[in-house]
Amino acid sequence: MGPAQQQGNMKKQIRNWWGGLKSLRRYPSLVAGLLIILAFIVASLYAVVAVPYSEAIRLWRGGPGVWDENPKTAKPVWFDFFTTEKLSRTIRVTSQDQGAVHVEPLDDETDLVTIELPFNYDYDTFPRELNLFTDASTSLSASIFWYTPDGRVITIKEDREFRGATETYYISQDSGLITQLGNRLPHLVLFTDPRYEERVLKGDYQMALIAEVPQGGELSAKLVVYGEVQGLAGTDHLRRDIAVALLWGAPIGLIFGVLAAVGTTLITFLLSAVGTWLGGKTDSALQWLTQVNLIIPLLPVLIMFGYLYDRSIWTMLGLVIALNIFGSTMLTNRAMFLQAKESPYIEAAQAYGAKNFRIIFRYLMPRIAPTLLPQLVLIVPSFVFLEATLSVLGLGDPVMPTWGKVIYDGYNEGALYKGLYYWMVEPALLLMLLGIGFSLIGYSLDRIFNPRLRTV
Amino acid sequence: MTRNVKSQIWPQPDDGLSLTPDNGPLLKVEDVCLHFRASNGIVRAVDNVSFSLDHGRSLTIIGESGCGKTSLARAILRLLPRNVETYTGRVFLDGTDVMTFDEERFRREVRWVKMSMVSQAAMNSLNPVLKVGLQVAEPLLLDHRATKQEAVERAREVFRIVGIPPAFLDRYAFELSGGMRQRAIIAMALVAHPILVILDEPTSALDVLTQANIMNALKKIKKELNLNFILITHDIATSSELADEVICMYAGQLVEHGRADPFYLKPLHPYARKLMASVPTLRIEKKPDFIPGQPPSLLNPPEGCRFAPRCLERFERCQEEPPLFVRGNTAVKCWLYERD
Amino acid sequence: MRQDVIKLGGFVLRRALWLGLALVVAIYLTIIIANMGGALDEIRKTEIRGDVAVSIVMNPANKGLPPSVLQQMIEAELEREFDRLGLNQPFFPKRSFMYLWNAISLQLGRAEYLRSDAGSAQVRLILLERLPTTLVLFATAQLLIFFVSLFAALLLSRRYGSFLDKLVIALAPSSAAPGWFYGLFLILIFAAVLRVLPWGNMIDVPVPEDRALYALSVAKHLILPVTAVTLSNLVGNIYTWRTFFLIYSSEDYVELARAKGLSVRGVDTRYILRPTMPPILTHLLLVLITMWMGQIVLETVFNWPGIGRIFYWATQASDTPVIIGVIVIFGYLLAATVFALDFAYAILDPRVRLGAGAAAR
Repeated sequence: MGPAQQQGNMKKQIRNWWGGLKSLRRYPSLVAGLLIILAFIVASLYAVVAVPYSEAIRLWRGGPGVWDENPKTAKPVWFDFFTTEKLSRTIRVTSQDQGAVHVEPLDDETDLVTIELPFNYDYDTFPRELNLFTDASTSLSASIFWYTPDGRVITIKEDREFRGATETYYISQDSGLITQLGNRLPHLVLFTDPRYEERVLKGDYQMALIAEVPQGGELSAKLVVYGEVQGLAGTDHLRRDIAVALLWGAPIGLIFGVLAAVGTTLITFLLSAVGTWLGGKTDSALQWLTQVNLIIPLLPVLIMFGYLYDRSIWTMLGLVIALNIFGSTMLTNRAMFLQAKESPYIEAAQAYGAKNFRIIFRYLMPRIAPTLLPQLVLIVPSFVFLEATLSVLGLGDPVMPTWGKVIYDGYNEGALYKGLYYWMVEPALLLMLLGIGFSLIGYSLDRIFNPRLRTV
Repeated sequence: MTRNVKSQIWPQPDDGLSLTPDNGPLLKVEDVCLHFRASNGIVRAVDNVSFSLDHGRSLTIIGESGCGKTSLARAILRLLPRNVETYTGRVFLDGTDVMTFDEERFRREVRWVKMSMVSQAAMNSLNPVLKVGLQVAEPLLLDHRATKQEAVERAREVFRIVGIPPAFLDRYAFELSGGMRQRAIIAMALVAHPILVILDEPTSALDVLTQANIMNALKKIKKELNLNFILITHDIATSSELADEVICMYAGQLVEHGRADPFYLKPLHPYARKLMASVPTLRIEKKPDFIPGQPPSLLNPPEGCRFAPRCLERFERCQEEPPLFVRGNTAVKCWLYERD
Repeated sequence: MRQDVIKLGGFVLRRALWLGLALVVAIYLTIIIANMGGALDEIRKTEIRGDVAVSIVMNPANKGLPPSVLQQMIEAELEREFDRLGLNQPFFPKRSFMYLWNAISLQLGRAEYLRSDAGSAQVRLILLERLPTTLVLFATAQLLIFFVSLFAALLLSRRYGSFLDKLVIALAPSSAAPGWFYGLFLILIFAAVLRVLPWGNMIDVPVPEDRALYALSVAKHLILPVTAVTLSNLVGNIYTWRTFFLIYSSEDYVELARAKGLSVRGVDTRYILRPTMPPILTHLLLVLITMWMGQIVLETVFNWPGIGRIFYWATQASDTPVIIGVIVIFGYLLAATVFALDFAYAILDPRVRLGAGAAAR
């Protein structure tokens, strides 16, 4: 074949492909579904690459030091677009970066260390919390002062004891400070404009630590002023960035749903083909097993298994597939195979002496195979939601950040009561979107492949 | 049976069949047109068909698949699908133009009561979840035409006529063999004492033995009930047994209408001639003929005589559509018979 | 007629036996799974320990004996009991059948933490007490969905390609999400934001004395959960059933019925609805089973006092006997559902009750 011919062939192939793609336009729901799933696949790939699996687990497990700089139950930053006020964001000042450290020797053994932590507060709303993180090489005592933009100085603590370690001073929860400030919360009072109650004083603030440090000792400090909004998706009660779970929920949901769907559909297909063809005892046994399977309550048994033994997502996946193999699709497949079994070309194959194996795999199965695709796609959402159901009940995988888990946390922390709707709505919407994406594709495929619908 | 108002609608068995005031034909079809709307145009399934059928005569309509035979039957019985574009003409049943009846009146007085139909594929014409007897008796249970008792009696009666044991009244469709199902459908068509029954390919789905059985049953029915029927078929051999008259259709038009025997031996229209020549004969040695080409699409029938493109005897006149010429007892739609 | 009834009776009996056997096997499998790690044995042993300890300590003849002696007596008695009940022997087959028999006869043991309303620890009582409330929610939703779906689907099948039809097709994927999912949103909108409907639970507090007010209060609390289930199931149902009706409306016998002169209603009920019921019922069975599974989370989300919520509490409180008990009850519920539908099937489809092998004689 000469180069010109090869080029011609390729052009023809491209044209065929393009024609095929264009014909998809007739099914807008199919296109919509495909786009949605494509978006999720891209997001999943991004998740796996940007935040590797072990990292995601570590982040989600949380613990000291991981999410310290996040506010608790903060709304997503895009809430700011919908309010006239400028919602406060988290400000972080460290002695190493924005701050300044002055060391003056007091005498031969001690130095006077002054740490200045300046920042500019330009928001209309108050911060949520105020924490000071310090790291001292030895135990020492320090005084903490607060400088407001209008020139006032508030003493936060005189001679507070610091141990020789990393430490957190929860300024907002200091009961002594609260009393000192007139029974009002520090993170509000320290930012209030004295002329107007409830109004934030904007401008340059500064926190200063003055400590007597033994010679050679070191002291570093980090002030975090927690905002009302944080992150693309907000934070939860453990200060975790919900976006991590939302992002990682995509690959988990996709993989679980697709693997479960593929596993069940293929195995059921194979078993029903073999059973229907061999007939007799095999067929009866298969039918009877299907009856038994119908009666076994799937979800409670899954939960019981997870509760008694192992809740990891892979175990659940295996169990889900095992308990769904003899599900109802077995019956629908069987009906189709029974019909196909009577076809004359099957009879012809038998006549020329084809073995059972050959008949099943080369004749029966390919005939019914087109219905596999819509079946498979339509069943993915049920598995995605099954995993979500387990998580929502608090019985899902203990370490993985899934959407269901976020909903569970939200529900348990009373998100609906507290008006923290974003917490539950975000994962719910993503679940819905994934389900709808597959459903759209599945229903369209059903219309395309279902032979009986063509005559309508 | 008690005489009541109902007897005006359907005749009692001992009434005989001529209940008409005049002695005109039983059925007179005049310029009936039936066109369907398809996705790519208008299908002219039945185009200006006219014929008449006298009492006591049975008719068979033959032609290739797609020539409009079934559509003609549906036009006569007003069994129209949803995509009808044109439906005109006159259908005189016993002198009354039933085309002027509105749907409700037609349903009440004509369809199934005076004229009924046995359609193709009886395999699926029976409701699988209802008893067969009930389905056969159903037309009588509508509009208070008869009491349940009377209807069951009548169902039993028609079962006897078609040759099904009465026990099968209480059976379901899947318990009947193919031949029995076809008989049940025929029984269903007879149950309301119609004066005309149209049978559309009643035996094409059956094996040869059952075919013969059904045809014998039909012959018996014809004799016993003195029934008029129109038999639509593409099986020329079977049609020859029952028919008194033959109509040959082509491309939605009636091309020849004549007595049975002369038609089968020596048809006039070139198409009919080719048709008969293609039927293998038992006793005469001949090579079966075939008609070259294909029937025209009913979407865009050719101008002039529709058979002209395939006709070996065509001439310039054929560019114009021929009317129906009468030659003795036969009507032919062909310019070859213009002069007479 | 009598023949029919006899045949029906025979079919029903056979189905009941068949299903009974399936139920036994299903429960047996559950027991095997449950006791793979010895959980059932543990429960039993704990129960026995409690009983033995109580009986020995409470025995007036033992009053005054030093604790160490009592302890020894308890241990000895325990050994005897364990031996007698075969707890020291391998699980298969005897003990497994004992558990099986207990499960089937609903002797479900005592709960560890949960209690019934009256304070009893009997798992059977705890669960059976809650069964009616679950059924109220389930049946209400089911009946609503069934009848609305049926009539809507029938109507829609006659309007193929219309706007309504296209709308239903477009919305059909809404069945991807389970009931509790919509429930969350409904609670958010109607209870949290709009504050027009209750957050959950079945009845107002304080409980209304008047019967009518009581019923009204229950009805008010039913609105959101039933709506949630309906949202999840209705459109998908309508879509599937309308497809069935479309397919079955173009059957030859329907055309013949119309030709015979049957009214539209007659054709609809006898020639379209009735023959289509079998596949509808098959589909309905799956829907019902899915709804039973969703009942657990639904009741949890809406705090509805039924079996589902007890199951959730049991998982949170680690009350194993209750967990297993719920599975047994669910097994019964599902078997009953399958049986009910099989029965309906037999009534509607003669091919089923007479056996499709009854070909022409």
